[in-house]
Amino acid sequence: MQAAIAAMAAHTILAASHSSHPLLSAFPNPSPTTTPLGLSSAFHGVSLKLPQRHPNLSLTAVASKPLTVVAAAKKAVAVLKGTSNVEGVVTLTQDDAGPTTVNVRVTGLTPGPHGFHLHEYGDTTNGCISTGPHFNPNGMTHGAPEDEVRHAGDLGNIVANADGVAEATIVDNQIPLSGPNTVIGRAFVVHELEDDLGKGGHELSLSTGNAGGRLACGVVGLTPV
Amino acid sequence: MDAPTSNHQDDQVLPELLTEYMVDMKCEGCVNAVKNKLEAVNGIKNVEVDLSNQVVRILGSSPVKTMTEALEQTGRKARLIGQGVPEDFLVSAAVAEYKGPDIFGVVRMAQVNMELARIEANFSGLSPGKHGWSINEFGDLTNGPASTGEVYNPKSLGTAKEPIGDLGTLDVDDKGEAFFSGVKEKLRVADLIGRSIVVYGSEDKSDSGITAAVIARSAGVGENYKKICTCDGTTIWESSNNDFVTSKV
Repeated sequence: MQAAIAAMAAHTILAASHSSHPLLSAFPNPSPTTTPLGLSSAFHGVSLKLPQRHPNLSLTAVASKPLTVVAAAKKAVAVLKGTSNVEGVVTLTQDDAGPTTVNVRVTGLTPGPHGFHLHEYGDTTNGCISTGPHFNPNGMTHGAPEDEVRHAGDLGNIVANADGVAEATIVDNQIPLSGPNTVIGRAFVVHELEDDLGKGGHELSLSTGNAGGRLACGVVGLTPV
Repeated sequence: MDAPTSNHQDDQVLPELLTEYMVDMKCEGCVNAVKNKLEAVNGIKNVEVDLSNQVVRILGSSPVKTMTEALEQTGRKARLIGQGVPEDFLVSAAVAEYKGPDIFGVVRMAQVNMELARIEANFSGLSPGKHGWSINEFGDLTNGPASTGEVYNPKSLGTAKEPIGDLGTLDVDDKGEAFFSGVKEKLRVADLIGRSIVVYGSEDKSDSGITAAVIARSAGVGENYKKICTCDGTTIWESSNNDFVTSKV
């Protein structure tokens, strides 16, 4: 399992670096001193420091700066549907290697908190079973989004108002849109009950947060930036 | 069982692949019954059974549909839980699911080697006749098929005339069902994750299509032996691809 994930991760890196070739070749010699738009010295300072930490990333960043940040931003979207009337849209955006911002809007819920998780697979051919466990590349137990010990896919609860609409913006560091632990192709699931965030003392608290059945599900897909 | 409209690309024998099922077996007798049934199926080369996990691992070139039918004929519940060639490929299996309200279907993709992917598709609820289908560049379903972009065609692999993502045409029978089983060269399943598969209203792929589904990660062989959903106790035998289907109002 771990080996497979690691292998998958390695491949994703390959795929990601491959797809950035056109971008890099369009700017074969990204050099701070010859920036076409004549950017300020502050920009020079940043671009000179970056290569020491992340050679690949900085190259992309330097190359894309003159074109605005479009090339560095990544976006994804999941359309959630369910057996009941629960449905929603989740959009994800990430700039460079920063945190991912997740905008959630789900309707048709019962008022109150509902567990909101990312599962390892986006496959629902055997219902919930084929989505696998919560996305958990680091082999942790279940927790709250702000905990250190948590599944990467543990995004806590979304809270529905009296009209059954839950809207939330989640900013998280463990769900990137590219690289080893990319969330593309995995599934978001909205649960019937509140996720106790691993602290409910129930036997399921440390695996699933005891969040009950699944109301709606959606696969994370690529979307134009 | 009526013979479905089959559409074997180039009429070639499918490359071999490992497919894993969880089968409701409780005794050695069941194991033998399952093995005997499967070994008689054309294209199946080897069958291994792990009774303690209720897992059956099949090596062969038979389509999923044929193997599933054979298993069901033994009177036992069977669920496909993984597909691929272990250790060789990083992302080996993917699935796209169509959940109605009118058109239902499952498309499975599995990497056979670096140059080749196997594709198997089942659809129902389509109008009889020919329907084009393609892999499109985005898996964005916010506007249904209209937001999935162009047919997937990375410059390094495809040509403008024959995009890599062009899957050709599905033949839909009088009952509105279509079955496809074939291989596609140059397809890398890992590069398709998060994109979509679109089915069109006719052979013409210039319209935006009538249904689309995101290409999702699916378990490879030995990756998901989950048997019970710990959130609510649903077992694999109670689960099906009707879960998460959009309710018809």
